[in-house]
Amino acid sequence: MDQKLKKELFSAFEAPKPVKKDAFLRTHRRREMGNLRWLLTQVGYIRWYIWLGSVGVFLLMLILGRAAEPRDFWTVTSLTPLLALLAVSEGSRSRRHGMDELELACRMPVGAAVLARMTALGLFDLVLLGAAAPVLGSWAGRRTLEAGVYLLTPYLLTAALDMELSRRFRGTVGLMYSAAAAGAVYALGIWIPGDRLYRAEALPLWWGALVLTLAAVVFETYKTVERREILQWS
Amino acid sequence: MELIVRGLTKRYQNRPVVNNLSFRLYPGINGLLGANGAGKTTLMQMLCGVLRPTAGSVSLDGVDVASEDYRAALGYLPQNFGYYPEFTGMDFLLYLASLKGLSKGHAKRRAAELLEMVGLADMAKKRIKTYSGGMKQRLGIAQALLNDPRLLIVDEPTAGLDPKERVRFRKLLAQLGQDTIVLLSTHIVSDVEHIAGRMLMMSSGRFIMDEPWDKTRTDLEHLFLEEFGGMEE
Repeated sequence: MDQKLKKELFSAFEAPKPVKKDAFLRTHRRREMGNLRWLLTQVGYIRWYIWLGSVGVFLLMLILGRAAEPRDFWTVTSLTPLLALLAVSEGSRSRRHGMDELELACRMPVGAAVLARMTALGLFDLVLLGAAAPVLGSWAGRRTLEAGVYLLTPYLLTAALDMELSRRFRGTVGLMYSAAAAGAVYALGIWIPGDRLYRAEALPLWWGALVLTLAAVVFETYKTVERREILQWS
Repeated sequence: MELIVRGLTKRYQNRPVVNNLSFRLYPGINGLLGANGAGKTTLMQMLCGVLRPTAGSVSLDGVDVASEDYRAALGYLPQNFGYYPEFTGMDFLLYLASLKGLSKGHAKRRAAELLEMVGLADMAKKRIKTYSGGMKQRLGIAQALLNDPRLLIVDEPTAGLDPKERVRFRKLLAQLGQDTIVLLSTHIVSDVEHIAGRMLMMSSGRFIMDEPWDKTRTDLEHLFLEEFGGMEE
């Protein structure tokens, strides 16, 4: 079309100003954020000292592993429950602080937000454990995979126990029980002699325990997300 | 716009706390009065989808309470609510705005606007734990309005507010009530008697009164006391 004609048409037929635009837009409730962007926003609400605490536990494992006597070496794996406790505590925060009712009435599914945060922390912990496994394994003269099983199993056991306890007990009580469960798993790793717990013949049992604790974590995660969607009425 | 409630029931250990309620709400202020234990909060929690009913259904313009679209249109102020201890007033609103699906830019503008409206603009960057009870309540009102709700449910919203703040709140609600379904639960008769177009009175899980309300009537307190005696909080 001729540019001059186009320009003249535009000036002759000016579009009318919008009327009740806000009211109209309110009737069309499109999401303002895509799913992925929204989930990343929720991960941003994990407290900074949770990340720092996780890195601290990782460094402590390496420091203690370096300094430990050979027969006590694998007791460093007893620190992994602390990582699990930090991750699970983020999932139960809203109930502890009385924010759950407000969150449940919001548009976006709160269960998804909780899952995003716990998954982010869980993946971060896996990276830390994945980094620790070859280092600790080489210091102890064991394969990386074997070291990984020793690190991951108490972590998953604690995570499953803590999620169950956080669901059953509200507020600070739930957090205290979760901390006690983490302490119990830690104590178990210290109490059972290392030469019995970490001998080569026991490895198949460790693999079995890993599979069971992984299944428990999947189950508990599902129940935690499901429970978060509806307020527990008491 | 219409909120339809059919056969809504909540039982706890076989005791009905909300007992087979059916009603419709339209844009305007709807007052909900009742003594402690009448079932008001339980009813409100079910209307907000935070509590699963034993039976019955709730829908807003045909959209079920369990759906995201329903919650997109909902603003809710619970009777009691908490906050994360590290949050400032602005942080609190931005966090809830993210859960309401608002973009960051829109959330910031809206939060600033609402903080100004409720008189907390100066306190926006201060931690909520330094707020007075009245300030926390005003912050709660602000978060309920973040998403320009079409359905606003407020449970004892004027608790902790001084008389001047209560008047300001009533004026705000009166403005909203033109395009929004507002359900306001309170023990304070004066909060509703001059602004509500409809009055619901609840006792033992049922409505004992559900009628249009003429703002010139002055017998609401009398009716309330007649029903509940000296049980007002």
